[in-house]
Amino acid sequence: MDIKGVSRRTFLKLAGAGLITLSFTKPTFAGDTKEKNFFETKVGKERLKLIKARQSGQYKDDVISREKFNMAASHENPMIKRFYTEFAHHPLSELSESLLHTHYKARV
Amino acid sequence: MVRKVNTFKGEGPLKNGIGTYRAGELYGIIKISEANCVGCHTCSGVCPTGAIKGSFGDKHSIDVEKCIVCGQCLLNCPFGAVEQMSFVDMVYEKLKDKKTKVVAIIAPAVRVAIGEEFGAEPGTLTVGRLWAALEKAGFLIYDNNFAADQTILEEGTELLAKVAAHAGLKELPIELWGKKITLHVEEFKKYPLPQFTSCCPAWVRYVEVFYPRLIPYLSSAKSPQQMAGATAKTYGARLWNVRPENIFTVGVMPCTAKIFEASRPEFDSASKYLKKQGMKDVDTVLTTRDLAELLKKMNIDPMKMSEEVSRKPEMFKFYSGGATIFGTSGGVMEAAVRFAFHVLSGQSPQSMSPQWDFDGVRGYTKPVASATIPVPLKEEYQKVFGAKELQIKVCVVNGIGTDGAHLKPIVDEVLTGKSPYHFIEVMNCPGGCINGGGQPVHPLELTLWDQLFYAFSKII
Repeated sequence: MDIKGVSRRTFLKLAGAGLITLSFTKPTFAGDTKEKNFFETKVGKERLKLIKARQSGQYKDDVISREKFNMAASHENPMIKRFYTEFAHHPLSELSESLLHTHYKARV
Repeated sequence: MVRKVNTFKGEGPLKNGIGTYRAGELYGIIKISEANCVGCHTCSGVCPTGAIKGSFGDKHSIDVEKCIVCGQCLLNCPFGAVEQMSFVDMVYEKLKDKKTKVVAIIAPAVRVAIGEEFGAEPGTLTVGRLWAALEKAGFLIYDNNFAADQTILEEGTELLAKVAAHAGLKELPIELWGKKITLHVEEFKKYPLPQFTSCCPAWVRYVEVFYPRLIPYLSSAKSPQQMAGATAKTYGARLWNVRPENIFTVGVMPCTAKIFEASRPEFDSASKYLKKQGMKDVDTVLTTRDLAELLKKMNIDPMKMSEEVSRKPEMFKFYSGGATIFGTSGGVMEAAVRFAFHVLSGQSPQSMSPQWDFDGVRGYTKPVASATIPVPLKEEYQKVFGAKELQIKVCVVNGIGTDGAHLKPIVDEVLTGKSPYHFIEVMNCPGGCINGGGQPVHPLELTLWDQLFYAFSKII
């Protein structure tokens, strides 16, 4: 920061005022952890507009898939039927279990 | 305006396991740059695991052992001080290599956010033009929405098998596409209810690090990204007529934890299936931001292309409505309920029928949503279940919350055997993947006072 042209006295005054306010006021998002619900935190409130905009994009795509292509549910996708008919046989088949399922590992 | 996020090149997979990481996994995917951190403490307020060290005014750092790589700190840092490991250069090189077929696995939430990196409004739906841009860049497309449909078939059937097993059945006949399959469900009795979703890699790591007792409750279904990778190198290789070892799979994800997920050593199932050594199901991951960087590097702007590319029944691109809503909180649940409704009731409502809308599970802005869904049973099931309808009880955790605030009451119920639910969806990020740590960053707006405060605190 350029402090040329500010006398030593003025600078000290500013610094003093700054220190006092520092000790009383925290900035908007600092340590915002008391709220249990993210959507009620200051960060959460700021994020809402973005979340809603992107959410409506996803539901718009849901409507397109249903209206234009008649697929509301996953099994209605003819390519899914083809995948199982030509390759994976049926959900939870031996092949499905080996390629599409997994296991987990405790990390303690 | 979106902000450019600083990235760095990683040191590659771990040679030996360390702490909560195994050999082969990537370590330290998210880090805080000391030079840019002003100690504002915003990151601590959004971290689900308390992994951030440092108090207000100090330089902050991440405890990698506790970190589940969700990237919420990165998304919300007002000063752009949080950085991400990036594989943009690696993918760029692979695209230039003519021998290699590079496959882009595009997640649902990318299509409602990538436009923001090219000046579009948040939420702008970008499907046809995103495919076109990726094809121009040299990618083959495996839309992860197709993999989301695969996930529902597997995870939904798994849920039905567990519910039937706990109702005392040994076998469950299921009718799909006019064909009858008899599932032997007795062995599913060893898995307790409720079933938890397993699509969110930050949530899976959260369970493994903090609640290993919950592991038996997790669905065994892989996430869509990993199903896509394994399918691309087996069935996909056959359809594309390419040698599996010449396929390089790239997850394009709204998520930083997906970078970690792809590196998990057990995800080499195509390798095992084909009995060929050394292939990973998903070779690497680009975040939404990384993909934008790559496209810009190649002078490709998806927003200048036509969205009106016709979607047609084509392998690995075609997808249902249930699949695309995976990107938002409640979406996986709704897609699973749509599938379960069909199987149990035998009904197939018109695609625009409100019967397919299960508003009760849509997360919106509630930290937790729960619903009881009455599903009418077809005659055959009325006999075996001894009821006319089945009350399916479901719960959606819309973000783990600061220090697990949203999640913990739900988990406590499960661990004390008091959970009323059959199925619980957990997404680490509030809002779901659409608000994931790999998405375009819109900096939080600082007030003039905030700015003065930090400017001042920097000089003293």
